[in-house]
Amino acid sequence: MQGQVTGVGNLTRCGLTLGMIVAFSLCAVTTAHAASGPFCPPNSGSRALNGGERCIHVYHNSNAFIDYMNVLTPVRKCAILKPNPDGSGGNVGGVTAACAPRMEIATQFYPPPGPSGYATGLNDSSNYHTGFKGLLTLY
Amino acid sequence: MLKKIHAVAGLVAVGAIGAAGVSLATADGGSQTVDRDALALAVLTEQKGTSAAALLPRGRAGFDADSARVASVASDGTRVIAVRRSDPRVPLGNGELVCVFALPKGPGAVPASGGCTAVDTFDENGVVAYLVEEGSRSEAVVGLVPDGVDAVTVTSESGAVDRVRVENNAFWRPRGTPVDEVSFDGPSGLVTIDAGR
Repeated sequence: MQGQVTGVGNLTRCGLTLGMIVAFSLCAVTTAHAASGPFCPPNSGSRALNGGERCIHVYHNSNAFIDYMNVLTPVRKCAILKPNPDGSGGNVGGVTAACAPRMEIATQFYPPPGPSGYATGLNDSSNYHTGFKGLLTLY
Repeated sequence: MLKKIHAVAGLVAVGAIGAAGVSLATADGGSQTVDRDALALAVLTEQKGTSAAALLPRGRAGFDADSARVASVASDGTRVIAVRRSDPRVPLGNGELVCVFALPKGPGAVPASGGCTAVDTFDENGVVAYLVEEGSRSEAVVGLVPDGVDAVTVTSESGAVDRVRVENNAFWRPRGTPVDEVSFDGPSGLVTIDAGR
């Protein structure tokens, strides 16, 4: 776990799988509204969009936005709603991944009651090894 | 900013949150229907001498329908949506964000995908987002640029250069070769946005 989580409401922190709690992993479970905090991939190099890493948070169907933002590395990051807790599967809602470069925010908007799934942040960059730390905001 | 979609009377906001659709009159006398709910839209009013970001009303934390505007409608029917959001949890620009969304064509055509940037950087650099199908080598790019920008140059990884017209501060390049950079002549000179890969 890194940093602190703010505005979490009903937030539970956990490792994605037992024994898989690494320094930068974060798993958040929301039952209501906003959750935000620093995030980082549970692993590197797996299930790549284009060779990058990904982070997964539960996405509740009352939420309207999912945001992913890098705050340290000026590379591209993406946000997409996936059906599976490992960030795999076809995009929920038929929506393409939203990717933003630099220090900007990749975001998707689902009008409530939206679909449920897993907010997945992807590091869409060959530069992922330099670090993929950022802020996730769910609404 | 965002001048080309007018209210029938010139400045009457439509709002119509929660309606099945919102009809907007366009500058050429036609109309368009924008799908509903939280992306229901107030009609754009023509205001001169105001920055692009300032024209977008400030929304609540999260999303406020009143903060959304249709900036442009692409040739394929995709609507480009401008949204100003306020979220103090985002440590950029005191949480004030300007976002651009691409709203796909079709009935009930939400959700939308896009990107946001801090409001205090928007008027200089605009905001650009890429829409990517996982496993695909093609992508679309959508963006909002500052006032006075008539076109942007989209340079692809292949080296191809496309000149993309800006309408109401918005541009949209449909899916194509992955982008290397987007550039335009901004208020303070050339702005180049690297795709970030």
